[in-house]
Amino acid sequence: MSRGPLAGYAFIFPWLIALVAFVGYPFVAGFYFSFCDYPPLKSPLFVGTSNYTELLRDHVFQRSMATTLTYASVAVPLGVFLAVSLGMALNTHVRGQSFYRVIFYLPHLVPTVVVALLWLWIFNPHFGLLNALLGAIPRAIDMLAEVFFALDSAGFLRPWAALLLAGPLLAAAVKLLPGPFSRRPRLRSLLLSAAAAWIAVGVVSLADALLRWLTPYNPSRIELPGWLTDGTPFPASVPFAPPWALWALILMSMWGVGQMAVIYLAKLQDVPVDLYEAADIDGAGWWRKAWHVTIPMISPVILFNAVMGIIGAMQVFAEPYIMTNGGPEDKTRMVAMFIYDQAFQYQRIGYASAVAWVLFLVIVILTLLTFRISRGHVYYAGR
Amino acid sequence: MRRIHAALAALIACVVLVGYFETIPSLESSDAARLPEDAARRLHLSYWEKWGSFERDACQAMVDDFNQNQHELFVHYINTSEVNRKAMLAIMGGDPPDVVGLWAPDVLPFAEAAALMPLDEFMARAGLEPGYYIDSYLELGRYAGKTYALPTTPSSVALFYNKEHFRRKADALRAAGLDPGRPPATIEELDRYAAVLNEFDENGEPRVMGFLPTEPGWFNSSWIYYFGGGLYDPDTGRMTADAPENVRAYKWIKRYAETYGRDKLLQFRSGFGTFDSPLNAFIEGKVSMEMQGVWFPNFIRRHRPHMEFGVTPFPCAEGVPGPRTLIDADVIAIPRGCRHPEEAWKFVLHSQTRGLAILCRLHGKHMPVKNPPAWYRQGHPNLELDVFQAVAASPQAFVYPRLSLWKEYNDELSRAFEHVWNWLPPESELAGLDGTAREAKVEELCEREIVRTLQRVNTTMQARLDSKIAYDRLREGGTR
Amino acid sequence: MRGADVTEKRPAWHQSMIIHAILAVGGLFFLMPLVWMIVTSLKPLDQTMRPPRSVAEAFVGTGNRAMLGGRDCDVVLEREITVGPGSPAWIVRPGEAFSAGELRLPFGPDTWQKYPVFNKAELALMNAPVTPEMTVLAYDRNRFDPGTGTLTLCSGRTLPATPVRQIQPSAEKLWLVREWRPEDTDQKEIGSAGGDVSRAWDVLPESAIRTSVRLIPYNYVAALSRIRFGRSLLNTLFLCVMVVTGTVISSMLVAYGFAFLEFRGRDLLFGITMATMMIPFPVVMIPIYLLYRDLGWIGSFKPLWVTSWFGSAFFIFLLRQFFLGLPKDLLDAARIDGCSELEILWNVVVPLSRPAIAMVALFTFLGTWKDFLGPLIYLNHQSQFTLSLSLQAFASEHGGTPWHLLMAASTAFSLPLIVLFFLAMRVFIRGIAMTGLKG
Repeated sequence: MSRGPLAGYAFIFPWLIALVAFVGYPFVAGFYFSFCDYPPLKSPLFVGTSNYTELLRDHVFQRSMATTLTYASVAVPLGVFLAVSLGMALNTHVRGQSFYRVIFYLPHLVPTVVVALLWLWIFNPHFGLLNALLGAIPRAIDMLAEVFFALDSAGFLRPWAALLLAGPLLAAAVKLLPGPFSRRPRLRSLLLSAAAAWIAVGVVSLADALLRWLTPYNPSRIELPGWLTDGTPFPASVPFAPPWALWALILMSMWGVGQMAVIYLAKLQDVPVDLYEAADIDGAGWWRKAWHVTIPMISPVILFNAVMGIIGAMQVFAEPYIMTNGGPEDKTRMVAMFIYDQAFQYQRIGYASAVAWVLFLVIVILTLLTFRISRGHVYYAGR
Repeated sequence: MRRIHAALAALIACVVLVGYFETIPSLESSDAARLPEDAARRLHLSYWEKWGSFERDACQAMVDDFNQNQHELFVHYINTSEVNRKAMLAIMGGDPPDVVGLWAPDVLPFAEAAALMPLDEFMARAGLEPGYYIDSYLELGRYAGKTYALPTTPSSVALFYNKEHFRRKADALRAAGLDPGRPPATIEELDRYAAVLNEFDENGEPRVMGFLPTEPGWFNSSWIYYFGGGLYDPDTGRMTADAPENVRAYKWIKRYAETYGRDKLLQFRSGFGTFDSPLNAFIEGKVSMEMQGVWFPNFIRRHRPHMEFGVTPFPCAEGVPGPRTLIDADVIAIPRGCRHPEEAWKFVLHSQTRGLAILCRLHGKHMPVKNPPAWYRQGHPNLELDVFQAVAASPQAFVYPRLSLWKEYNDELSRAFEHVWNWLPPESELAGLDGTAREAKVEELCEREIVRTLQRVNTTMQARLDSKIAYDRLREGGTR
Repeated sequence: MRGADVTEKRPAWHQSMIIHAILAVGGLFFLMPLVWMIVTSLKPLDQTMRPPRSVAEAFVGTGNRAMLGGRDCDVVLEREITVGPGSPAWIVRPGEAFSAGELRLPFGPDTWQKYPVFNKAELALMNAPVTPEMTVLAYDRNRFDPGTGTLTLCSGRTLPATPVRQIQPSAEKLWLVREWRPEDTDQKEIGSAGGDVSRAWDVLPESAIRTSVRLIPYNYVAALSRIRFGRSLLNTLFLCVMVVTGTVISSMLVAYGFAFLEFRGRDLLFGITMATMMIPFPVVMIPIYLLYRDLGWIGSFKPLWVTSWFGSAFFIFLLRQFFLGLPKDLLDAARIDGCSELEILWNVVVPLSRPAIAMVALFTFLGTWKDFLGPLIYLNHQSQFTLSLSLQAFASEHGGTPWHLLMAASTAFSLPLIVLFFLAMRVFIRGIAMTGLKG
């Protein structure tokens, strides 16, 4: 039983005003400006499509578009993956859950300035935390390997190396002797986990020892990435090769998964429990439950977050601006920064509007693509 | 009507009332603590400026001095971040401040759009002669023969050198035929001093560099001037980015990258802090000689109070007349649409006479005038003032091209600088070459790349300039 | 039963341990900015942006302590004293009073009183009197002649003085130390008391000076007064209240319309709503500014909150999706009872949607609290500045950023948010537990 269309229009009336006045008019005006030459203190002058032809040839624009697309194509899937995992991890009944929820949301509660400065510090190639860790890990592994293998002198194995065999032996024993463990599944899984860990230690030490023995690998002389300064992990001949700075920015954007994780958390609480019970009856382990029950049920939210992520990543401005200001050599200049420069530094509002419009079209295309790809995969319950 | 409808209507009414009564606070009420007793009788003016921290205190002292010495006006200092952008928006919007402080590169775009009031009449009436100023500083504020902005705090640059390093390496310098008691006089000599002053550790990593053209990184567009080059020829209206002197300058820059290894220098440079940090390259003693500005001794004294350093005009290449320095300044102007131009001028006049001395002194800089008052040097914390004053007044001092496209041009040049610095000749061209043959080939390839880069900058900027002139002509044609 | 209840049975303990380990490592990683912020906010300035020489130094600031005049107090090392045959050092008691500035400047009070080139703080220090009860260090620019018992000051003035002791050259380094007070944290001179003669001082060998932990809670006082915390907080709260109320109410209304009411063009309009989320801000930035200019709103708060009362695409979408998941039978029952749509919304839908509405309110609050671009563009008067804008202005100051004060201000900025978030999370969970009809 409906009340007629009047009620509907009355309810969405404020939004209609907003659409016309605060969205529609500026949108159309922006479109008009993109065909003009408009230095801010003079009047707009209609020049036809020359702004658009110019930006097609502008190598700085091409570079910034490539950079932004690279950034979005890596940061968004990675962010979605991490956010979903975090949401699922937070959904389990481990102790201190409420505490963890706040911690993972913390980066959003701290001013952007502080976050940017902190990351500048972390990414410093000389004494930043990241490179300290990256340099310490190979050295730690090396020290571990030293215990079992003689890396520098003649001979390869040390007597302690025999201990490494304990791992595989233990695993084999547990698997092949079901008897003593049939009534103690916890003990069994504990011993298996311990054996797996020990095997991992052995493999890593062996790999490190072989590397030291056969190649000129030296953990204290590894050249660590320069992060925000310069350098690229790709050979120089790759066009638009993303530099370390871009990877640094992507790493930084992982900081923001807390926001999405909270939304996932809320939606995860909604998943009807009979589905889990049915899965349990079918004998599904946690991975299958996650893949076949949890994820399809929250897939609308995943889609939504992916789309919002794309829109956000294409417009990212604050962090690159504060941290690298487009450097090194323009390799982290995002399209939003390019627009800002054109509008306010170079006083070319018409050109900036044209670039903004191209950005809009790219975002629309990407979003439609995402929707199309997701069509077969997203499950809408109850609509 | 149902209760819920009434509640909603009441809420909307409240919000509308809030919106109605929430007005823009008046200028008179801002900063109540500073107002004198007769504030109500005075005319209040707003002054938008960019400074915060101790520079702000300095400017506030100047404003307070003005407010205390007369009783008709009261000026409010309003610290505005990104003052040029906000001023542009405000002038566009028709509600500008009474007085605004800008940077010198903003003058041309604003003046071209008639966003600032010409000050020549005011100056003539007040007896403020153009000869009062050092010419270059006044030039910064002029456009099409009229003065639109006047300089407040000037900037000039010179070579800073670490006397402790010179003393430590005295023997090595003498062995190379150089005098440890004086700084280099030409750029070629600078290179020779730098080569002796370099120190490397056992892995070949640099520990101290004699000189690095990438420090501090703000003046990268100015190196060419020390080689006699230029960026724009106002007589022909053409960009000259690819002039041979410019290429020579860039080759000099590239030689530093090549000689010491770009990657090694990258690691070395990455630990440097900004100019106001104890990790600054020069203050920390990692770089022996650096080009820096008149504000720098204040920061050296702040972070390493007893450092022994010297200042001398930055050397030019052989054959180039000197001494030269880049001239830049902060400027003060009256925006178009100001409601009280006469009164605003009174404050601007103060800022150019007594106020100028106060402001420059408290900023620790020299004054942009030819004859500063005798008492200006009393107790000035910057003991190296004379060097800067002399070099700023030198006839070879230069300003960046007077173009409203300058910011774009500067960014293109920065890109070119970084590209040239980072560019590596492809291995394919160097295959099979060794020793001096290889070096010669590298030099030839670098020179080709430099020429190509500068030519690209030139073409881009020339195209922008031409289209801008064409659009302006169309605009004028349309309004006639 | 809800999805949360399924995990009621705790996972096996080793699985729990793995999850704990992952969460702990991740949590440490995410906790970093807060810890770094708080730690830096208590340090002295010169130890903030330096690479730490040890783990301890990364967390806690250090300072010097020594015995001055029988009292153990915090000191600052002002300068090194090197005594030699050509540079003697004496501690003397002056025979007559003079102004402190004469110790450091080559001219006297008659000069500096005349010319307004020193700021108020400097003048106060320079005019401070040095009386015969106090002692003075005669070294470098101030010379003492033991033969004639005269002290020649840097300003050129000579006066009689009695020696207290002569500083002997020693194998150790000698330092001029002065008492340190917490207000010094706001000084632009690092490692100096600015020439304040009213403080205790002495010349001590290095062995008499020890380093100790120095925490400076005064950083908070200095920072908050610099950013005018009280006024900024009020402005921010005003904005937040207006924006949150506006967003919640308008988004609720519009989402209800899109979710439950039928009218022509509904789906099309909703599609347009989604499309507007894709419009990048730069496209509309300048025209919106021109619109506000024409309305005369520039310089007031109105551009920042009025639009929130007309709905926000993101939250409309969120709420609509949530509403669609609610059971329709309740609404139909209410309609049969003769309620108007607004009553249905208020009495039926809203209680069911508390978690979603709480989420909308929370995110809007956070966004408004942190937003500085809007206030930067539209607000002109210092008395209107919001907290984030004051912080931003503080951070982007030209003459060098006081990192320790900045971190103190940022902590004050973030603390209310953290508390709010903590409380909000509890509402979430309770709200979800109460709407136990789903499933």
